[in-house]
This record gives sequence, C-alpha cells and structure tokens, in this order.
Amino acid sequence: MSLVDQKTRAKNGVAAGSVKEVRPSAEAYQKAIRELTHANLRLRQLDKAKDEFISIASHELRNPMSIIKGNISMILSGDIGSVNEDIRDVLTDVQVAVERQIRLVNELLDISKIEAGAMNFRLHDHIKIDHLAGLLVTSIQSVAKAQNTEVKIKLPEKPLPAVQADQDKVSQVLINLVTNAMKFTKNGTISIDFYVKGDFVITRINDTGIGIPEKQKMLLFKKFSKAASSSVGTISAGSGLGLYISKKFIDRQGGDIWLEKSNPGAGSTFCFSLPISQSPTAKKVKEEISSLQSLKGGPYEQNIISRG
Amino acid sequence: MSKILLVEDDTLFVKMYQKKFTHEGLDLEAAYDGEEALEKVKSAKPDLIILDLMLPKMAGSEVLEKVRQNPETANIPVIVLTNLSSSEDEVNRCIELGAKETLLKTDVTPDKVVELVRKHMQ
Repeated sequence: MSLVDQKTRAKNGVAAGSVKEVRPSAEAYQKAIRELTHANLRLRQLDKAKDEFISIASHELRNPMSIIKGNISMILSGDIGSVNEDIRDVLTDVQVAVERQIRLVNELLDISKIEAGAMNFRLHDHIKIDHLAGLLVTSIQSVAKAQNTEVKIKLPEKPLPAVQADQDKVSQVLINLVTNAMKFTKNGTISIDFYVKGDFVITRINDTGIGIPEKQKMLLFKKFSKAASSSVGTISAGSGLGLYISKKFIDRQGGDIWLEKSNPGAGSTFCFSLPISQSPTAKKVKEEISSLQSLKGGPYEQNIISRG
Repeated sequence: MSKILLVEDDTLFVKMYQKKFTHEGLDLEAAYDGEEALEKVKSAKPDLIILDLMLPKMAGSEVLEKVRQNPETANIPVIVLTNLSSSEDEVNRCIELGAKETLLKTDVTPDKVVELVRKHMQ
C-alpha cells in the first residue's frame, strides 16, 4: 500500500490494513434498485409538472400583458383623447416595462419548451442571413441613434450562400446578439460581417462597448447569467436568458456559437455558425437527440389548447 | 359598413378592440366561445374574422375548419390572434387552413391589427 493510500484511508477514518469488503445481499440490492427506480419516476413527474406550470403560467400571462400593451398604445396614439406630456412620459415608462415583461415571458416559455424537447424547428428554410441581418439593422436604427451608436453591416464581396435553418429562430438569435451589443455600447459602433468556412456561414457581431470581465466569460451561455454592470441607454438589462436560448437554438440547428474575443473597455465579438445544408447524417443525429429529449417531457401543451 | 367578428373569451380584450374599431369606423361583433362563433359566422356573415385559438367549448382551429367546410363562409378571410407562438401545431394547422395571418397577441398593438384587417378585407 502506498503512503498516499494510507493517508487517504486514515483521513477517512479507516485504519490501514483493516478494510473488509462488504458485499450487499441480493435482497438489499433489489431494494436499492426499486427505490432508485421510484425516485427517478418521481423526479420525472416533478420535472414534467414544472414544465407544464411554466407553460400554462406563461400563456396566462400573455393575455393581460397584451391588454396592458394595447390600451397604452391606444392612449399614446391619441385614440382615447389628448394626452399631456407628463402622462405621456409616465405611460412610456409603463410601455417599456411591459415590453420587458413580455420578453421575459417569451424567454421562459422558450426555455420550458427547449428543456422538454418540445421546441419545433423548421430546418428546411433556406435563409440569406445577410438579408435577415439587414432587416434587423434597419429596424433598430432609431434606437441606436438615440444612444449615439452606429450599427452597420459589411456585406461580403461574393454573394453569401443560403443557410438551411429556421428563419424565426435565427432572427431571434440575431436580435439577442445585436441588442446585447447595444446594451453595452454607447457612443460606439456595432458591425456585423459574414464569412464562409467549410460547410458553414459564420456571422460575426462586433462592438466597441465596455467588454466582458474575465470571470464572466465562463458563464456567458449559462442560464440566468448576467453582466453585473448597468445598462446603457434605453435598453434595459435583460433576464440573462438570451444567450442561453441562442446557444440552444444554434446547437439544435447544427451550428455553434461562441465569444471570439472580449476585453474590458475594448468591446466584444460574438460569432455563430450555421450549416449551408442540413446533411442527412447531421439531420439523423439531431432527430435522435430530439427523440431522446422528448422522452423527458412529451407534448405537454395539448391540455392547454383543449382547455375550456 | 364592413363587419368584423372577433372570437375571444377575454372580455377586457374584447372591450379594448371594440373601442379601437369604433374609433376607426369599423363594426365589430364579438363571440365568446367556439360554438357562438359558428352561429354568428352563419347569421352575421362577417367580412373578416379575428380568431383566438384557446377558446371554451371548441378550439379555434376547429372553428376555422368548420368555417372552411361551409361553401357560404369558406372564403371569409381569417386573422388568428393568439397566445400560442408560431411554432405550435395548433397555429400551423390554421396556416394550412388558409389563415391570412397568425399573430401573437403580445407582439401586436390594436393599430397593427386594424392595419392588417384593412389589408385583408380588400
């Protein structure tokens, strides 16, 4: 016996040389298996109940939120009567708050679906990702201008091949990455460019913002991870779910997402890749993964749709 | 005057849209469950239907299916306005049945809905 072994045993309260091997009886063994099986079943039930709870709660939250959002927009657009500046100011804050809440509910619902393996992906869309990014950039120009940030796209010299992915999900990833960049970039520049590497199109989002502290980098794509620093401009700090969801979305479509570089004070660069075509092998692997995941949850939303 | 049928079980939601549509000079009638919706589609012959999917008595997609099966109502344009996101089977079913739009309630304002209603009534 080595000295190390002796020390370890001594530490665990076992005198060296006095260890007897104890084998459990067949009966005890069977009992342990029964208990474990039962505990496992119970855990699965709890997990399913949790998913159902989040799903129902999220759906039931959307109706009142849409009523708050709708009524505020009617007041602000003057449908109900004239509105003075003080009231307009207060209602604009309420509007921002309700949009934040809507986003949070959308994200929680996405997560509950991803984790239950119930998120559908339409992988047959052929997407021009530079076009999609162009639409997004146009739509956020006014917000960017308000915080004196320039958002631009560098188009590749050769036309970019289309990627095969789900357009809605890819849009959501783009929105997450670009709004994240905007949260931390004031008086700066956000630029989006693209390149082809092997069978993948890489999209790169670069900002000149405050950067990410070293200790934060490891946690970036984890659930509920948030940069501690406060927000910039009108975009509020998020829930810490955006990058987690983005990663799940990109993984599921056969791509990858990563932080290329970031230094405090010198901005960040995030990248994601998507396949130009979903090859039969890649598709098969994904289907297998998704069927494994669905064992866990099952089609938990059926009961909501048929509910009275 | 153009007539629009809103199928929706939340009375506050109906009230909000009644206010908006009156303001826009549009006539809005409400049905609060799936069965009432089918009766009103037959009796009122709306020019357009705004349809929620999670309804009492009959699911929205079933309402749409029945509207499509009746030759007299088969061509009425339908806008789905729901809390279910676009990846749900129930929403895809409505797209297959020819819904003009499928909108998530929290994504749109009444202004946007009016704009789309006008677009699809032409």
